[in-house]
Amino acid sequence: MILAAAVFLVILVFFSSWRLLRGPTIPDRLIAADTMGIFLAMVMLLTGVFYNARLMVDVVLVFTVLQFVDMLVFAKYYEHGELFK
Amino acid sequence: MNFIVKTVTRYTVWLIMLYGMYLVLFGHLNPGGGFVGGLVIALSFIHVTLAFGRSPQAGLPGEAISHNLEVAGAYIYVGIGVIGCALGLPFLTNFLGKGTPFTLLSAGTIPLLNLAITLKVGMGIYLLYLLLVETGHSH
Repeated sequence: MILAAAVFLVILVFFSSWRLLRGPTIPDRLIAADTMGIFLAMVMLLTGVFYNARLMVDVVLVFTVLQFVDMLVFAKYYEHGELFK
Repeated sequence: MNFIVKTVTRYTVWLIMLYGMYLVLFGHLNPGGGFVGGLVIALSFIHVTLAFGRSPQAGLPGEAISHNLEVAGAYIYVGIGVIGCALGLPFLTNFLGKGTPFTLLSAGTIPLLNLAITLKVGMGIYLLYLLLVETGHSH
């Protein structure tokens, strides 16, 4: 059941990557990349639950924190064109 | 940035910093350690800089202070290694007691080395961000 959920999330990542490649505007692509990152973090978490690896939670937390600040940088750069404003 | 990002930053930045401190302090027991913990702590600084700009009210270190702290981290690392030499042991030998295994106070000098690496990597990445953002302006 857990692996089925992980496989389902991987399928959703492919849908998001279609939007990432085709997206007409830049915010579409940014949100698609963010969604892909969240789905992949969930896949990592579910894999950790399946293999009973508690240490995977730390890795997923670092991944999501990095992704959060990354998206903030991209959003600010898209809005202002520079980062100090 | 706008009001939403500033409010979210007030609630998230201390969680990110707390998680970085956890990664550093439990670096000898869990995955993590000085490099990843320093990276996450630097991310919390970068997060504040992104949301509030480089205002003095944020209380963030500038280029000079972060450069000095980065150099201090390298010197602390080498100093801990040289203390081992001064005691007649090889460089970076674990001269402290090993403590109880799998607890916080164990593994001798490795937590201290983790703290030195945190200073070095965290301040280094924050300084790199400041320099890249200030000089990479191409509009």
